[in-house]
Amino acid sequence: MRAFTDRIKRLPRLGVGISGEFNVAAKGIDVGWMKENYSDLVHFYEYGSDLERGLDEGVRRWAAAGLPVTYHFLDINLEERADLDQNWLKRTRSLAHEINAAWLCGDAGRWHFGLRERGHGMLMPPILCRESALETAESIRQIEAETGLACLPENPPAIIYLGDLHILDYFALVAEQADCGLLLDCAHLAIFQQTRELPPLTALDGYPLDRVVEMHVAGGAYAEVDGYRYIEDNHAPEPLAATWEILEYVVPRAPNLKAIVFECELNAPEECLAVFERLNAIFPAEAE
Amino acid sequence: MSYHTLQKLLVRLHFDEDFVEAVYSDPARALAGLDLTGAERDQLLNVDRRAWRSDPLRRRRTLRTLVEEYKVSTTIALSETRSLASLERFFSSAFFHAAVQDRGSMGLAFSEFLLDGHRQGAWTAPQLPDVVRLEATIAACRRSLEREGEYRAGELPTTISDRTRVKLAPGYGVASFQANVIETIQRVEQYLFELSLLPAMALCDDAPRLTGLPEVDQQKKVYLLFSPGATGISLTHLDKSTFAILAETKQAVEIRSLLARPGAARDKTQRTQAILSEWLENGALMIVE
Repeated sequence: MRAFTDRIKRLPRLGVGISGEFNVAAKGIDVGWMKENYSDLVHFYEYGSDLERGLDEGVRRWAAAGLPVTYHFLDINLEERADLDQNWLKRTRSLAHEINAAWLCGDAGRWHFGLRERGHGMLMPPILCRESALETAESIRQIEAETGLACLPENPPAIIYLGDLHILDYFALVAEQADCGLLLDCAHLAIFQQTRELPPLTALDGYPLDRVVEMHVAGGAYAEVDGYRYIEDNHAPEPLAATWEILEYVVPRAPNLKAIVFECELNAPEECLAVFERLNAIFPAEAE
Repeated sequence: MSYHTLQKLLVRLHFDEDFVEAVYSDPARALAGLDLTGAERDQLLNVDRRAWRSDPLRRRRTLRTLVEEYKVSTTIALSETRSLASLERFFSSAFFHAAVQDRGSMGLAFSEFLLDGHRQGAWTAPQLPDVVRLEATIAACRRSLEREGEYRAGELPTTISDRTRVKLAPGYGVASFQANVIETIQRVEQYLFELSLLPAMALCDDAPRLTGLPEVDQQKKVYLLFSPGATGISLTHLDKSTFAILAETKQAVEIRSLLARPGAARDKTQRTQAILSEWLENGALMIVE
């Protein structure tokens, strides 16, 4: 397989996009409607799904219109090789190819505990240690080899992270071992830094910004349980200040950045327009 | 590979506050026998205890998924205990913890929890054990179908030797129950339908209650085939002799051992061959290479 530096040249610049999951139009923003009404703000669709739900009509229509899509998996434990079976690889590849996805991406860690079956769903971050990073990297290598698509691991959200590495050092190691691109979720990173009582930009100096292909932005809120303060990844319309700070630091330093997703699909479209405008100003669809 | 152990521990701690208490108050005992390094153990104990409580609805969301598969069983149990905690105890049970630690199925572990609760007297309705077994069989069929994929019967070989091995296809199952199990399920479903008309009526003192469950009839048995259909797993009655043969094909078995079953006289052998042909042709049985 070619090196990342060669492969990245063939990935398209997608601009600013919107996220959505199966049947999102029934409970949130209809991405087709959004594209029709705000085509200058939304340039691609990141569709999140799993084998159980597959593709919905919304993403099929979007893809049939020749519009760009990325496929965000919600059902593979990259940190657990036993989870990466041929059934998942074959069917995920088929879903992604059906909508002509530009690449695959998704939170690296665990989407379920134990077997992939009903009731086991629970997004958990990887244990932030070297051995786990190596196992994650092996999974990514296999996915890329067997699907023919780039697979971008994303730093996941959590209240509790265990392991001796900073999450950015963990993903730096994954990227180096898998020779892959990265998806940096700015809101999730803000959450991580808060749990470790670190400033928002901590450890970005050791993180390979040239491997950042995609970024995520989403709203969050401070919450409390018995006096314990944490950030809830609630995808509200307005990102936290720390999220903006991370985004604005990384974008000008990420030469291979191709896409930014605003994860806001469960809000009213009007509440999200200002953020879409700001993101497009920071990262225009056409490179300047 | 002890980080895998740590991940399983995280799941157990997220679901079970009693376990959190046990780990923090006596870690040596609570974590005994687990493959953890000293550093991992320290990382775990350095987590602010309050953080484990950040998602108070986690158990309820998961319980909802479990109840979807064990709708009738849990209705019978709850009608008796009138206590949500009686079901939430699952997350503190050995069945839950073993399912997570051993990478098993939580749905099937829940059936064990319900059956054990009946044995221990947590719920006493005599209808419950067979209803749990029936719903667990459906759950198991659903899982085998998801795991192995749908089997489509193709053209059968022109000759099938008696050494050919056969087994039930993914999504199929057979089991026997006390005679009134289906009537019990229908009675509970009727009650749940009534309740669904106005769910808030469950709060009322004069809300309808689950009464009049059919008596358990252990003298007679009902034999059922579970098969995948367009809307899920469906049930069909079987006669006793067909059941007896299919029950042996839950695991792969050579045809000759089915033909040589005790008491299989010549006419019974022919009947067995006819049953095997029929079920191989309709795809309930498959040939195992």
